[in-house]
Amino acid sequence: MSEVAVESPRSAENYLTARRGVMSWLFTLDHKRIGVMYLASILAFFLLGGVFALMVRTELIAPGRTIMGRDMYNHMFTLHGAVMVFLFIIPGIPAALGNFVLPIMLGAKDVAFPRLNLASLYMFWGGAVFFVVVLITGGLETGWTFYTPYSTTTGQSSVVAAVVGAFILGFSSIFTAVNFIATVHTMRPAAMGWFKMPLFVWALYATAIIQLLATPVLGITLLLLALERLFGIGFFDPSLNGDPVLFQHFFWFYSHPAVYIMILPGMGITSEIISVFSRKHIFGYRFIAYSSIAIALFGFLVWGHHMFVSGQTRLASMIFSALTFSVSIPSAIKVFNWLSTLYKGSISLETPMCYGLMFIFLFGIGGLTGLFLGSLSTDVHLTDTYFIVAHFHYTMMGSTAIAFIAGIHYWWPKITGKMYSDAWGKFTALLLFVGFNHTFFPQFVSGSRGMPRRYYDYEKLLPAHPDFHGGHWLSSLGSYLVAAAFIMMAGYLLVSIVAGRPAPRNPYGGAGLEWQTSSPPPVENFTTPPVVGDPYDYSKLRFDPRSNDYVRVA
Amino acid sequence: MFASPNAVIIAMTEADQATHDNHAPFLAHHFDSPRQQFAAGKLGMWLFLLTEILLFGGLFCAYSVYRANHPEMFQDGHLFLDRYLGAVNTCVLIFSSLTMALAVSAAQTDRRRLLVGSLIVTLLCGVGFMGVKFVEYKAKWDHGLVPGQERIAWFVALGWLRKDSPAPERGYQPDADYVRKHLAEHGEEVDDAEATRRAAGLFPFFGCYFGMTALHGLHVLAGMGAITWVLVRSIKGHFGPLYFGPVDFVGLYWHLVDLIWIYLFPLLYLIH
Amino acid sequence: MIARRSRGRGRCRRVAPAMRERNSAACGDCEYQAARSSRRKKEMSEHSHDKHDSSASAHYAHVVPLPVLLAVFIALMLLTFLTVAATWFDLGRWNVWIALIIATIKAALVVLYFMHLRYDHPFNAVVFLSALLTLLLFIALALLDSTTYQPDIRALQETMRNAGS
Repeated sequence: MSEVAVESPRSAENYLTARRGVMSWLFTLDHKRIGVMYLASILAFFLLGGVFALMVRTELIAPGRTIMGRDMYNHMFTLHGAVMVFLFIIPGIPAALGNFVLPIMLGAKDVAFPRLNLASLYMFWGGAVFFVVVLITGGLETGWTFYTPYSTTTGQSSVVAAVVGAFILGFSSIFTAVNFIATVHTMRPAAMGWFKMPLFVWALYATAIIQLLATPVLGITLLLLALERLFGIGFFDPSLNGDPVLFQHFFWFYSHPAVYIMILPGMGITSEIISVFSRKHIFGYRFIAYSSIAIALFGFLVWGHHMFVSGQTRLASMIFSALTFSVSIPSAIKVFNWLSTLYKGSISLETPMCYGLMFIFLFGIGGLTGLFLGSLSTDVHLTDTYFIVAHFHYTMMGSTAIAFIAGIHYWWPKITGKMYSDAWGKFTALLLFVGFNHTFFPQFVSGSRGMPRRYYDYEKLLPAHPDFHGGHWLSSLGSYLVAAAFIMMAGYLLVSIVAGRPAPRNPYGGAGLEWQTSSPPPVENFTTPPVVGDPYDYSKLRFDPRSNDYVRVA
Repeated sequence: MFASPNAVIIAMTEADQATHDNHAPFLAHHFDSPRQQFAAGKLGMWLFLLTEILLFGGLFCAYSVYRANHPEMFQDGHLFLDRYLGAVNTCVLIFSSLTMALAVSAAQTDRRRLLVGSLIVTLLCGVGFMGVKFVEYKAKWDHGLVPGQERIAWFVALGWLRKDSPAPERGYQPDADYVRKHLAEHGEEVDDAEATRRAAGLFPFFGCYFGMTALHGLHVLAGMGAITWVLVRSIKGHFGPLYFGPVDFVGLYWHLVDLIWIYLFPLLYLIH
Repeated sequence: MIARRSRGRGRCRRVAPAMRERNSAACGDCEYQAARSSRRKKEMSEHSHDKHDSSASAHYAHVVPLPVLLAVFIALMLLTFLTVAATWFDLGRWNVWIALIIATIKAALVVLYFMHLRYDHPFNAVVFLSALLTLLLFIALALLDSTTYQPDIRALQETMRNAGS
């Protein structure tokens, strides 16, 4: 589409400047522009979900009514969950970073189906519109899990709009997945076999498998929920011979694999970052690659562990509990491989690495606490308490969101062509780490002592559990630290766009193909065909202090 | 999936094609060869079909659960369906699959008249299928057998926008008289009270029936839309031995629609 | 169009991914032809400067022969008749299994021949089968669970009926 010719890494002609005007962005077929628009949209919804979180935490900082009534509280935690899950974390890394980086990592000019990619972005916006409608009209207070029969009979909220929005977002997810799998299969260069691909690509591939197999089941679940609410077609309504536990089977068949959609790309980013910032080949490449696929497949076998107290039979619960332990094995394999990569590596603590290390630590906690929840007897006590809330925040926020931030910082020079302030980055990472643990660690303690989740108020529990007030207070304080950290992050990243130092081709010394093109890349991704090699072999890269760039030496 | 956003982009791409310096027709610039483009497209369509199988699969799961747990309600239900109309629809769809496969072969071997003819016949079969469906649905609607019928009517008549018309109550009570007569035709005499009870008990069956066939019908309509798009492009002469992907991929979708009906037919119409 | 099987290779595996272009010579074994009209010859002469392209794309997809399509169609019609005929006999719980088995045979015919899966890149078959397997997993466990708790529901309903009366 645009002319290709200029060799210099600081060419004025790149994908950001090639065509101008709003229409050239809204109707683009360029995966890089689509990725950037996704990134902006997803971060906007992260902000929205974060605001809801702060409202929840502020209400809970003290017993009794603090800033809102009980109905509003139900809306707040539901909307926090729904916005964060459907509009931030599930599209998250694949849509925002994967779209940008995957084709370049494969040395391709674009994804397999650029028009489908654009359609996926439109679907994202379409689903988002419905959620905005929900906010303006009745709100949503069913919990993000929409359990029946409450969700089919409550008159208080815009359940149908929310459900239609989530249905449309499902299409967005599916289209992205179709694109990624087709691209990986058919558009790799001849020299790049499956085991020469970067691990981020493996992670996105495994994620795409899950997206394809699981999302349609969510689609049909939401469709049936909407039909039941609108027309009284009772699949899930006991008064009409329906089965509410069946709803939960349907819902969790998607929503459990969904958590692997969330975490797998984050693990892929971690593999990249740990290796680059240790200047050491990733340890156990094949193990990490296979474990990504294993997580994707095993993830489909365990959904019943969300239903141990729902009315599910003991037989099914035992089966699901046993299978749940199998899922922890591939995750543990990855953690061991990352640690082995770090061992005797030449570690440099730039901002992406700070977040990468944070991921390993926080995922360790999140994953290990999952074991308590997978075993039947302990789960009966811990389910629907703050222990669960802490567990999934350590895995979804402490792991996936942190990995997302790590990836944003790692590829920021490539995407924007600008460098951000590493000092600010590191300080913010520290603040975020402290704030995050401050927020969620006390919740493990309160939860194991019986503090239930989704409760508007705990005043009546205080005589028996006086420590709950302290736990909530610590947690809410931590949430303000987290908010401060994100504000700072937005600050220095936005400043870098206008006033940042121009980025060199390869500021961090990565060996993947994306570091062989200019920052930002040209429209066609490469002006000269990239040299395919081992994406974790750093022996041929030397840092050149004059240009602050890693250059290829023979 | 073939709705308006793509239409704008397709137009742009075709304009591109006219001025683009490509060797093969309709070769997208990010692909190296027609073979690569075709392989990618084929894989992409199979991946999409995977999601369709799982979408319907959810309904098959609901069906299995209800039939296993309430078999008596499903025994009654099928008495109200005409298995021969269902068989006709099955044959119509199978025939349309044949003509669709013929269309693909025609595109590959550059026989434009056969391609266009086959696509038109496929479309007509789709129309025929939907026609039979309409006849069946109308018969059910007239006797109150559609779950949520009153609410659907109220919704379609935009009652939810008018303040003076409240939503009808949820509940399911088909025409008991009709049920009693129908049961009598199949050799079972019941009194009014029993007929009312049996009528209400048809609910799980018809919930499944309408859920599955309506979703299937929507897919038939979407498929017909896609076939129309391919037909227009065929008439314009876009397809030939070097480029026939869209015909092939739309064909795959159409065959899937047939595939799903192959399972729906015995499960809904042929319960004994 | 009568298809002849290629010598010693079982069936033609279409070389799908472009990264295997370098192996396109392997496709020379296969005798399936994608086109043979004069119009194609005209097109080829227009593009004759691009020899690589015309030979590489000469047949990148197998064409299902017409007799095969018709045979499959007739088989499908017969099986449909069979499945309706089976309902004329009361075989108890076997009826539903017979219906499903016949449906599966019909489905296999459609998938293998109408949808080309027999002649296609094997990964497409993996895609299709994985959908079925996942679905089976879902149905099996949901069914297992729901049938196991039915007695509990009935007992509860009984208790409620007794309490009410």
